[in-house]
Amino acid sequence: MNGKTYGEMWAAITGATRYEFLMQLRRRAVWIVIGLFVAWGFAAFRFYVALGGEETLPLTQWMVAWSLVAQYFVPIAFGILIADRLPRDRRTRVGELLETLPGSAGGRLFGKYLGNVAATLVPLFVIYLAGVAYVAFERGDLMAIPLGLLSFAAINLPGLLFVAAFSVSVPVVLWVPLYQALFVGYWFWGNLLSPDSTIPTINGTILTPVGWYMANGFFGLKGGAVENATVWTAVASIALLLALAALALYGAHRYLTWQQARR
Amino acid sequence: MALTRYELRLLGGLGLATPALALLLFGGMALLMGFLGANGAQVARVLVAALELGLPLAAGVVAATVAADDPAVDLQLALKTRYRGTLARRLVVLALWTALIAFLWTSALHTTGLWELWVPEPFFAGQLVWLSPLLWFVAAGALLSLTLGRTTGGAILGGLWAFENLFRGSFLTEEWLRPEFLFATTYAAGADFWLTNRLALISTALLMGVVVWALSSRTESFARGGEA
Repeated sequence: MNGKTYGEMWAAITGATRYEFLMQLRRRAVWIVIGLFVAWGFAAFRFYVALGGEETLPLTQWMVAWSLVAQYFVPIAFGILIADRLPRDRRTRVGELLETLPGSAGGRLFGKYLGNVAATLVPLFVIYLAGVAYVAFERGDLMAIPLGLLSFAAINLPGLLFVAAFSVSVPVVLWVPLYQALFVGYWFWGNLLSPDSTIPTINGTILTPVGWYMANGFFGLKGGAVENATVWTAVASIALLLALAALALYGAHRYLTWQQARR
Repeated sequence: MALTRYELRLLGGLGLATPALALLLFGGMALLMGFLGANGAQVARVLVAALELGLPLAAGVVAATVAADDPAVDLQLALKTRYRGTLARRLVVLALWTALIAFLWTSALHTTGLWELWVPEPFFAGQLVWLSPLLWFVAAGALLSLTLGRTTGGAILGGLWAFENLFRGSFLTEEWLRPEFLFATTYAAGADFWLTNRLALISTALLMGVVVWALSSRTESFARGGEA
């Protein structure tokens, strides 16, 4: 604990979460960019799943399709909108001020992560719920609501937590614009490029935050990059994404502590 | 010349290295494909794609950053030199630097005979492989950054890049979308609309450049100190 009490750490986490949440939620960019990206995802998905036009699709497939719509491009926006938060502390010179406070640096980093994830999720979740409400109304089936919430929790959330953890952590060592360019390239290469492509890709492995394993393993979605997932491989995919997210945050924390000790 | 040197220093090692790094990552992928037994044309395609997909995106994101990220922009309000001139010089230096890297890469591919395996156009006309998307991304990066802020600009640029990559089928079949397809060499080398597409991209870039020129006279709006 480096001499810090649990109380101080808890205070740092809750304080940082609250302020980061409010700062991020009030950014105009968050609302514009997330809205635009969901629209892109929607346009994208119309080519693959006949969302809205195909009456015979079971309700579960509709909801999974809507989850994937929200997951196709949004993580690019999610990552970029969160990547500049930690360097911002350096740029505005509040980082050094915060270091003089009694709360732990690790607690503040985790609070930054939680607050930013929660705030960036708000516009996405509002749009997502509007889609769920539309399907519930269109199909006259209130089961759309629990199914929609379930697929959001299983497909979108693990991938977004993964993306956000790396976007908070990697800019600790990498220049933000460089991270942005690399991250966009990674997202396309590792999630949207067909596994049949001549270019080797990690799309189709359990390390795919777009959520193919969850969509196929939990909900039986056909036509995605993964066709033979089971419930257990889907669980393994979620576990791997969350474990790597935790590792990225821990790595950033260790690096920041080391950097601080050197000064 | 002194100002150019200053701009290069302002871009910094990382700003200068970002486009080169994009090329190297594609180069690494091509090498891996070579080891895994891909044929010459497939490897050449990835090496050419580095110029069309990797380099322009990297330069565009850097352009979005430098266009609205000058901590001393307030000072410019008090100077005779206007921000418009500074920004234009900054973007030209970035574009020229990236063009130099692209030309070296292209020449290396040409020397090894890989260039001809994927690009059917003559060598000099073939330079439009990278020039058109590079100008487009730099102009779009600056424009988005000046109008919506650098984070929004970078994010939209990245989203557009992924969108056009994924929907290449629609961009190639729909005639009205073809002129603005940024990756025509990677996905449709030798197509009859290739040159029209390249020139259309440059025209759009110039148009965006004019808007950037007009917008950059509003120095006060960049000096507001807030963040979008």
